[in-house]
Amino acid sequence: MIPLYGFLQGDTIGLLVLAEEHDTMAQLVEKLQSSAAVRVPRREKLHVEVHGRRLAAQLTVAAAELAPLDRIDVREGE
Amino acid sequence: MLRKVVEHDRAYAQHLLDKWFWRSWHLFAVVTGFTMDYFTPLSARTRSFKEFMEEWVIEQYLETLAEFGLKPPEYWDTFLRSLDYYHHMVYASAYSYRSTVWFDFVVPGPEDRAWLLGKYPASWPEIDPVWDQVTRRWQAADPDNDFAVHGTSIVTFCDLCQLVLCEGTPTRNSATILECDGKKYIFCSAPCRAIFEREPERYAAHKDVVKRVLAGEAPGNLVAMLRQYFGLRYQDWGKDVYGGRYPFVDRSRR
Repeated sequence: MIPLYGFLQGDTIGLLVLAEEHDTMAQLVEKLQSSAAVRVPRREKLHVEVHGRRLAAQLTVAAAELAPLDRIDVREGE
Repeated sequence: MLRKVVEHDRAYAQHLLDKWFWRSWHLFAVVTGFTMDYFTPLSARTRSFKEFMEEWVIEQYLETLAEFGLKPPEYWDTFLRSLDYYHHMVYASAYSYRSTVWFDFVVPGPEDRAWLLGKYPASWPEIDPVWDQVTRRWQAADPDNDFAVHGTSIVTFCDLCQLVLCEGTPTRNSATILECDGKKYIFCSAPCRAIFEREPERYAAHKDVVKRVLAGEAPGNLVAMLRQYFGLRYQDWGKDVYGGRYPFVDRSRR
């Protein structure tokens, strides 16, 4: 398990995302949207950014070399 | 006392003021910002929290700094932006984790939200959609079903101020990560990071809730954390003060 700090565009707080190495960026989007659903309605066309760099939806956590307690941003845009 | 510190070491006096103004700001924003802009009934509000800060705190503080020949802190522009956002972001977040505190919360209704838009025209359009979503969640939930309109994931905390990561804006949270001696620390804002970097030995050993959960020292499940770790009981923890029974929550079309 790889804990990440997740920030969903439109939300008011950062949340912990418990990721697996094989999770794709699309799955991280889903996890964070689900965690924030009480405050932010579900949206399509979101992507993950790390250090301002947009990551491909099918890229895995391992391939993206995400480490524990890294920051990910989930932002609008295809 | 401040005069003596300034005479002895002006740079240290500046550092102390810069540090404690920022740290006090966060606590004051949560306590007084909640009270003035959310908990006081609309009919009894005489001014917004921001207006109060501008009139009674900022002007006085800048005058005091000038009197002692000190400068406004480097983060002053960040602080001024924070006046528009911070307590609103913490309030919306705290509402959705109200069981973790010992007092009840209220959903701002249409009239409150119109008032807040008038008082915070630069920031409220980014905050308001959160209350649309909370209202929709209550429409789909039965009254008193608090956990249907409540977060369950672990929230994150600043390694300096120990408050939740709610600085910046909903569009771009300002949290920032620092690697120091092989460990990662996260801060809600650049000022909190700067305070930490000046005296890391003072703060580095403290574990926030997230790090305690990850170390196995606290349960990751919210209800277990409330009961076993915080020592809160259902009858004590914070709830929606009306149990979701609001005139603007229409359940007739469910």
